[in-house]
Amino acid sequence: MVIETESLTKRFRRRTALNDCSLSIPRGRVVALVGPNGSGKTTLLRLLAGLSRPTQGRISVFGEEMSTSNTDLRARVGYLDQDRPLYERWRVREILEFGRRTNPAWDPAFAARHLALLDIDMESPVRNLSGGQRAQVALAVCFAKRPDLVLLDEPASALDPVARQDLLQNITELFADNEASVLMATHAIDDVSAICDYVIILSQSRVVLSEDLDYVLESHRLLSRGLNDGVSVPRDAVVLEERRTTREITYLVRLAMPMERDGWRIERPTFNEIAIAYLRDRPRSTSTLSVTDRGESGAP
Amino acid sequence: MIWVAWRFQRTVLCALALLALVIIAFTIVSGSVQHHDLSEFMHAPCRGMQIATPGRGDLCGQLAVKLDNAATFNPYIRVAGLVIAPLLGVMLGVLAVASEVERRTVRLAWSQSISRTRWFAAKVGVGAFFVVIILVPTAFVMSWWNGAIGSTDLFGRSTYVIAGWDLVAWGLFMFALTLLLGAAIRHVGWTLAAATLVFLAVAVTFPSTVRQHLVAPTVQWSQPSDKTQGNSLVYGESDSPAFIPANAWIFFSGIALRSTVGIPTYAQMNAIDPKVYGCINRYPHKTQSDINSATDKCYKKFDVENVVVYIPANQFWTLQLREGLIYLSAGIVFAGGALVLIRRIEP
Repeated sequence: MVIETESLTKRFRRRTALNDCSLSIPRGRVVALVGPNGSGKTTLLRLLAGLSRPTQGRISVFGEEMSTSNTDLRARVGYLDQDRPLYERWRVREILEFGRRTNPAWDPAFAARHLALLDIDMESPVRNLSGGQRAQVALAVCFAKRPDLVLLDEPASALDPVARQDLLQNITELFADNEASVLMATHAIDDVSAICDYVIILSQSRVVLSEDLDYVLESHRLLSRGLNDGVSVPRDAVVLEERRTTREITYLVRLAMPMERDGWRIERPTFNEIAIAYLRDRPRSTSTLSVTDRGESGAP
Repeated sequence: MIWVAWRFQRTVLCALALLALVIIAFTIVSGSVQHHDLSEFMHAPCRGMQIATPGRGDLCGQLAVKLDNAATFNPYIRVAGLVIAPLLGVMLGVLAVASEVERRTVRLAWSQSISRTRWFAAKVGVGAFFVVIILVPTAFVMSWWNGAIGSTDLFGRSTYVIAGWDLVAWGLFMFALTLLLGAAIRHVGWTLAAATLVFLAVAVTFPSTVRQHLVAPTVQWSQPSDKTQGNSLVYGESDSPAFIPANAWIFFSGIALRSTVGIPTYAQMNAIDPKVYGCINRYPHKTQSDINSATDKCYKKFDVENVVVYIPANQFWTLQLREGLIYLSAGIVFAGGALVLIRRIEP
């Protein structure tokens, strides 16, 4: 496992930013960390980056305890902050020099090549760069240290659609080149299915889903029937969402095993639909969703 | 990492170094001009107005005016000397920690492959190095200037700091203090405000509460009839009842009971002084000899002596060294405290 957390909790005075989160993320995945504002995505990433300390629980990265003082471990972790903090008055060249001097495994050729491909002037002061260019410079610093794990906090936020698409494309290419594991926090659920193969959904400071994207898509279905058909939801299905029209009722369910049609119209939901259903869910008593914990509560 | 720390502080460092250079250059010019004018004045026939030179008064007056004019900027130079060290220390200190935390660039720095301790050590090392590099020549020039303009006051509030090497210790103290405040407050504006307040508090209270205790004062008792080498005691002059050494820092000068323990106070003197001088005045004092005799008798009657408590001028550098060590020790403690806080910061 590249990341393992156990009962991870982070409190800021009275506010609980992350509550009792247990996660295991396998190596070599591009992981989407999805959740609404204030769900704890940034807090989780900062804990994993060694910028912050947990209030309770433990974090293990590559089998080692992550802490603010574990420099060797931090050398293997690249972190892109959501604010893209760069030294405003420095030139791009100097930002890369900063990266070279603070990282033993720095790859200067990679950083220079990456920025040259994007036509970013190395002599330009950071404050003169556009939001997209700043993000690319920050990304270059993040990847040029040749990390085994990359933590990206909203990498495409505040970018126009073209810049956003370019950035995501770059991340995919960089991932392919580096063979690193990537954990990417995002609001944009559309980005997830484009580049990610593993998904974690955080809601109200808790992990509500942590699984392979393919498995998530395979294990969820939209079940529809007429209002008066009188067919009941299979016993082992967890109903995540219920939608009613004047003539029809539709359930978004999670299935433990393939089901018979049995009077239902069965469709594949998009990841967008699944994610929104989880994000709308009420807070749960356990950190991860179990197939049986909802029983038939949503069923007629 | 040193390069990173240097690059981060480069602009402010260069600006402050330039400011120090301007102050140094102006001080050298001012000191040279005043030294020349003073020398000319003292070597004139009137010997700096110590000797009456009938018919040559105009020349002496002109030289005196010239000297006064040259001294016009002295208050500004003193202020510049007093301000440059704390300004340098505060600006570099606030830039090193508070600014980085407030701008959140620490998230970039602390997520690289360096420890916070190393990051902080580089910041402190570069900052302290430049504080020393800039303030040593400034202190040297200020000290020279104080002598060149003929100032004999070494212990005055506006002189003491700029007349010695404490300027450098002051700068390092303020640098470390601002590091600590920056790590605790984490906002540039509030850190600057707090550092300014602490600076003013220390600058006002330290000289009057701590400095005078850093060197044991000399307590000199004498009878009115005593003679000191090269300096006769003056009989019967209440404002100079005893020998006062040149350029010393005087804490007490007056009469006191011989039984006084420790340093006499002016309150004690005011209690006994009217009685002694009332006694002296009761004796006939037609001649100086009468006054001397009456003074001796009354001093014996009330068991008092003249006493001066002072720190002599030759203790100036000892005082500077001890005060400087206090600033440096406090600076080391502050820097250590800042490191403890920095290791706890969650940016």
